[in-house]
Amino acid sequence: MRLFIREHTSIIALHLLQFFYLYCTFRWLDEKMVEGNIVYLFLVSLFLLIVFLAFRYAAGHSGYRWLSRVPDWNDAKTFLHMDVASPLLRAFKEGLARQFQLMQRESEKSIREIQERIDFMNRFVHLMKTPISALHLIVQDREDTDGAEEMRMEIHRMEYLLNMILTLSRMSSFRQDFHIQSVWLHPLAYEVVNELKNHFIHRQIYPVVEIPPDVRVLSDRKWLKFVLTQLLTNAIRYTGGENKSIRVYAEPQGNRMTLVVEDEGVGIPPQDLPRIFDLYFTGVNGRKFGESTGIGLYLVRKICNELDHDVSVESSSGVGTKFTILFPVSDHPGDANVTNL
Amino acid sequence: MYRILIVEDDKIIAERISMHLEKYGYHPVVTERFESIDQVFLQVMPHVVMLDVNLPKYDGYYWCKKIRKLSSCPIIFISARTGELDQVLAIECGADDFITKPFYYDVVVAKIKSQIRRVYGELSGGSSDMERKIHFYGLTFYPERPELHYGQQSVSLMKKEADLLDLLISKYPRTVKREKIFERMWDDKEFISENTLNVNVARLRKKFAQLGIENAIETVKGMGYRLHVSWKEVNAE
Repeated sequence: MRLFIREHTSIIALHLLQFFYLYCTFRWLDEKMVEGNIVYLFLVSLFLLIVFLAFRYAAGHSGYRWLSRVPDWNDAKTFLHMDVASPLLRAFKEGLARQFQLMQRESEKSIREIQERIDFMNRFVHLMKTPISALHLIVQDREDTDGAEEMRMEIHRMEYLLNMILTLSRMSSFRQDFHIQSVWLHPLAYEVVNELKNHFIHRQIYPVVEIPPDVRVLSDRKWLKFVLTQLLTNAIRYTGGENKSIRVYAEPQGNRMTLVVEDEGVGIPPQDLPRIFDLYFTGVNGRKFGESTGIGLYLVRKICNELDHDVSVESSSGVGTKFTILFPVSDHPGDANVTNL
Repeated sequence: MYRILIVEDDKIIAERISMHLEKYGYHPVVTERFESIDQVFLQVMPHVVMLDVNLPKYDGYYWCKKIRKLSSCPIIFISARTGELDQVLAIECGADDFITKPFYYDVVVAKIKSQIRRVYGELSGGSSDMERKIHFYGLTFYPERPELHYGQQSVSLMKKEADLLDLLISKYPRTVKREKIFERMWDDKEFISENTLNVNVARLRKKFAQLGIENAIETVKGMGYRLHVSWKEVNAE
């Protein structure tokens, strides 16, 4: 309404000014003019003005109302479907629609370009896996020669990094890719530990899994597996010295279930602790061990956020680090508790 | 002898797999005619097909469907793609198993073996019915019982001790690295600890002692363990 009045102030002013001018002119031409007639004329003219304004308002009020608030994201597009009779507003609407189409085409183009690049990257990573597996076979053929074990570990690292790239590119279409379901923690943890077998053996670290077989949580199996793999890989990497163990266990916390990965490694210095989940942050340990990408834990937190899990960390230098994933309260009674169904 | 057709466009991988399968008594056939795999299949008539997914011209899925029209022989995919969807697609095309790159020889052999057992049966395998028996400087080792015989005496072993002995014998006279032993002893259900190795070495030494053999297992500092033939060869029977 305010916008409408502001828009029409000039017309109202013109109208009044014109009437005043006419009144003066009549007065000057004819001094015996009847005042009553003038008042009558004024009222008729005012009435016509009001009719005109009312008509204008009726023709475009929805458009004015939409324009007078700054549109938020949700109804930014409603104007384009609005029926406005005012020619100016209609032209404006059509122009806006055109703009919108243009922008949409631009954004579609860039989305296509990004998708092309992701596809290219995926293809590239898969192509790289072939020479890596050839290398892997060659190393297996000369298992007992010097450095074979080291080479094998390096090959595993390459593979790990390549898989990380694949995961990163999959993250961009994350929302379509995750499905919350009931996940059994026990087999999942065993699967991950067995897949990291070589890393455990190489570093002479002993995995201990303490999860009752009946614990279920609401999560996405594939992504939770990635998170656990990431946490265990870190735990192995930052556990120096032999005969240390890494514990993976489930523990109820109130009515929610947690999954804990606890190592006896070097620990994270307190000044680094708040930033370990930041992208590309490597910290003191990253520099010292030289294997850190600064991506792993970033992904862990991002995935946990998307899955509605809380991830937290406790650590003290030289003693060890403890990562805790807190799962959402389950709908099924018994899922979040260590009870038999 | 089982013929195994290897369809893999990376020559090194194909050759290496082929070499390895030959060692295990299979008859591998490597092909480079990627434009007519179905023709190759009809010529070779293999018992098992190993098929790469990324091939020039048509992909592995295409050839898998083609082969399925000709035969129901086991097809194992080798692929760099690890996604669930790729595996599902492979199975839907008629594949029997799936190996992701990079892979271990052991996995390849184990999967081929299991496919052959499943499709062609245990009996036609011939050798698989025979008990494994290893003669080693007068010792006779039966890994499947598991038992160790020396002269007139014998001791029975535990599973892990047998694994350890098998490894030590197969590598003799070289030293077996601790890591290798751990890899062999790794249990998918109950994870090993530092103790696992020491306890099993000690137990195996005790078993040797029961046969009257001392110092059969040498500790190589910082490396691992090695067999030491400290006993006299005697005729068993």
